[in-house]
Amino acid sequence: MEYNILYIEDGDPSSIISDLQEDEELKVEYHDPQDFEKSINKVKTSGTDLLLLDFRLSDKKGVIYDAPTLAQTIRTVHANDPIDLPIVLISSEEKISEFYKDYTSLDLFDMAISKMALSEQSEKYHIRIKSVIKAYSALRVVKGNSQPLLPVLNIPDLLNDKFDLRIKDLLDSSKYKNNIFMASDFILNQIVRPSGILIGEDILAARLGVSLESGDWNTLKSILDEFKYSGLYSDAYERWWFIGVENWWKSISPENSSLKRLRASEKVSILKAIFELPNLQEATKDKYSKSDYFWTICNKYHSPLDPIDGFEKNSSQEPWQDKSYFSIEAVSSLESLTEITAIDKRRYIEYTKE
Amino acid sequence: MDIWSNKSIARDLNDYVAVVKKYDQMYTFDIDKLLEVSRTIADIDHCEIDTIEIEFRLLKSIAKTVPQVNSLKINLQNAISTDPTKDISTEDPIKNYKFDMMIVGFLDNGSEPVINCWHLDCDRFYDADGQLVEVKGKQKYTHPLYHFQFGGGGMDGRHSGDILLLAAPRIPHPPMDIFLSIHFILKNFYSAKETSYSFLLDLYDDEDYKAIIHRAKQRMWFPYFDGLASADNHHQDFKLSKLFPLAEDS
Repeated sequence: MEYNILYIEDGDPSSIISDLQEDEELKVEYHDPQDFEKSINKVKTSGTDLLLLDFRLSDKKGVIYDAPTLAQTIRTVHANDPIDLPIVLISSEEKISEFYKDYTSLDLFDMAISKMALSEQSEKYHIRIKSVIKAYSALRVVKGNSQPLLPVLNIPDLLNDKFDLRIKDLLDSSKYKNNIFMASDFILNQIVRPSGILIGEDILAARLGVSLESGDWNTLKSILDEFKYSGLYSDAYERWWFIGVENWWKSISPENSSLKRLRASEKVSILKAIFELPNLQEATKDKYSKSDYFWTICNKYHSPLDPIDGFEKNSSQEPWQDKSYFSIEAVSSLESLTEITAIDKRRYIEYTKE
Repeated sequence: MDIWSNKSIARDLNDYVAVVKKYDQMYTFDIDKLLEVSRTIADIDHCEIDTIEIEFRLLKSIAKTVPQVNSLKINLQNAISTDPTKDISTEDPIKNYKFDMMIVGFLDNGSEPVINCWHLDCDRFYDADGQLVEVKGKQKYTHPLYHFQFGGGGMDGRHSGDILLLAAPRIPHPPMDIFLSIHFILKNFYSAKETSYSFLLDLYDDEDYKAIIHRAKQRMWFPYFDGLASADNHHQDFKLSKLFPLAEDS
């Protein structure tokens, strides 16, 4: 399958084009941003699948607009005849995620990538770019046929009753049903990426008490295949339905049915005994931690962590999402303690005084 | 609306989260899970709530623990369901009940965590067909209908050091639903004198909070207390001989 990308860049586009075209399915067309109106027309008429915008277009002589202006025009001016197109921001700034934050509130971009990250982890970003294009085309069909959005999540029948009604209501609202960008953004950034209803591999391993380095980890993962998320964006993000994993645990270990109440070593002994996985190793705590009742991972180093040893990240989350924590080592390397909650900031300061 | 219906409990769960968050601005308690429960419990006129598991972190040492621990976590499991065919004026409607508390203490010196478990049991037994088995005659030990008991599954096989662990005594205590269970933990483990938890005083004083707790007591406690208070009532379950057999034992 071919995925067409329209790339608007004021500088030399060749290295990015070659990074992208390492993947034979990605076809990149370059456009010079000299004239604003021409650029808009180009986007409207090119029939492209994805728009890739360099953040600073105005470095070029004569260009007086930057990517947000162009994206804003595409997202809003054509509200009656919307151009439902994924827009990805690319920039040479290394800390792209920081200034990207300023633009997420404007509801403009689907994703932001730093040029260095693209070149260093090209395969990961090729997959993500293709995934957002596929998500848009699936959502176009849903919108075109006025179908409900919920089925794009492919919720297993078993879990349907337990699914958060608030998400169902939100996905049913016209805000998401009529706006592909909003629907895609909500599903990706509020359901798929954050830990909560769905969990990623690191947290899955932590909650099962298993070390990711274990020889038998992949065998155990395959046992959990039936709880694997297969909905929108599952091609780019490997996730499991946590409630499915939790019910599975209750069924295999009715005597000790709470994953939260067992230490890593206890869970690994149970798994080893049931599934004959001699090479399963327990996850171990870092030297500053007291507990191996792992439930989450360090937000920075991704090592397994019990929230009791963690320092809570200062961020707000939806009710169905888990809180994030930093290990003490990670806190010591944070640029500012405002990144953790006030109560844990006091705890950290007290701890470092000892 | 009947106080035992899932519908009214769902509304209380929703309001409970809102009122706690009004005062707990630091998000000390991770009770968002209750919102999920309120949205996913069956829309029925009796009570049917599967196990709710909530974990409390206590990041300060509390007084009088042996050994001295510097942080604790309390894992609470609570489940409750009623039998809609029961007449609540003469019978206890609770069919399935679970209150199970596992406390893990962490020490500073890198030693293994220490564990303490309590559960509140309902001493009612069912046969394979779900029929209530009436225990006839004198029981070997005193078994109050609802009682607190130290120990439980979580403590099996742990090293106990020099401490003797016993299943007795069984201490009579009325059952607690999720609201009373959390209230119990807050009142027993979180000192409102600590600056970090001083918001609890405002929470306990909030009219909405008081109303939710009052409804919970109405469901869980008032019929129980009535049974303790009068010797000649006609309640089949809540009578002194079942609730507090020691008071009747000769």
